[in-house]
Amino acid sequence: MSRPIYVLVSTAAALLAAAASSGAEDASFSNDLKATIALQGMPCDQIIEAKRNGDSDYTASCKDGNRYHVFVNPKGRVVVQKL
Amino acid sequence: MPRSVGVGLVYLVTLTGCTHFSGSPSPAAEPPARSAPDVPPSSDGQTAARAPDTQPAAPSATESPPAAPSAAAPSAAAPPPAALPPAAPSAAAPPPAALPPAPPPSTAKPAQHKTAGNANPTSPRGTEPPAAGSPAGDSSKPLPSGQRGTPPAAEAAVSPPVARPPAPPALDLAGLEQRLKDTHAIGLFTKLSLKNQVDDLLGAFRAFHGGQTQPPLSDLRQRYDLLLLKVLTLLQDGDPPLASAISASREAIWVLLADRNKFQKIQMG
Repeated sequence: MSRPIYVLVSTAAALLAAAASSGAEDASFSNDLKATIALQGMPCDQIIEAKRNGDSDYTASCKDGNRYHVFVNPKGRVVVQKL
Repeated sequence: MPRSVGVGLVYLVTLTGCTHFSGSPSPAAEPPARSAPDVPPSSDGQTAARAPDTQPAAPSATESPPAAPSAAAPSAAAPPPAALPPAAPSAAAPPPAALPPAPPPSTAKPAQHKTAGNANPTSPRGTEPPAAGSPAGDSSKPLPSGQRGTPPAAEAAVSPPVARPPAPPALDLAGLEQRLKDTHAIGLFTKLSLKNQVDDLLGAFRAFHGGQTQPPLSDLRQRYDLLLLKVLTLLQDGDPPLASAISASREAIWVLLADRNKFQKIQMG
């Protein structure tokens, strides 16, 4: 009886830890996108959604309603296009 | 009986002679010990007297001859405690030694000042790093003034301002670049975007120094400042040490960029 409980608890803990780490990664990535957009001189108060289109290719939606296509072109430059 | 008395007298004489002989070397050994005790009394002068403190060692050696006889007298006066002489003179010596040196220093001070001119540059360098480092060049000038007496205080007053200025942080471009690459305070996209902007700015400097286009240097400075502001803004929360290091190197980096020769060296490297 105690063994299944132990397994359940450890599994839940692992899931929580994974969720927390993924949440942290999401937050850091959202900040990265937000900083990139800001570096290009475009407004974005907060990233509410970031959809991955491919390698180094994302579509970011900001809380203020702005949407951007952020990607790295073949020359290695970061490009931010307003959608 | 007379023979035994004579032998006893001779024995006593030899004993007293031995005790007298053993007493004389001890005063000779005392002087070095006195030179050490001489330091505390001289240290009463503290800062102004510190330079002299180290010097008295030499004068004390010259003083030892006059002090030795005075110490020899007590030792000779107390022949019976033959076992004590080493301890008694040493214990008794400090007070007398402290007393006699008091007059000699006054007489020796002028002599010390002569040596102080020579010894000051060496002794301060060993004892007082702040004053020693900067006035290395000053020492040659102040020396004559130091011989006159009071100016040591003036030297100390002059040296500090000279010591403060030399502290330009060495610019480590490679180190800063590596730290920027390694920092987790900036995301990959942001780093790439920053690198693009740095490359753009370097291209503008290349064009400026090549004479192809002539953007005013003030414009380049504005772009440089703006880019640094962006970098510092990104780093100040996540990696404050790196932000401060970059901020401290701001002018040094600008000098490298603005000077054609230095810029070309960077490009070559």
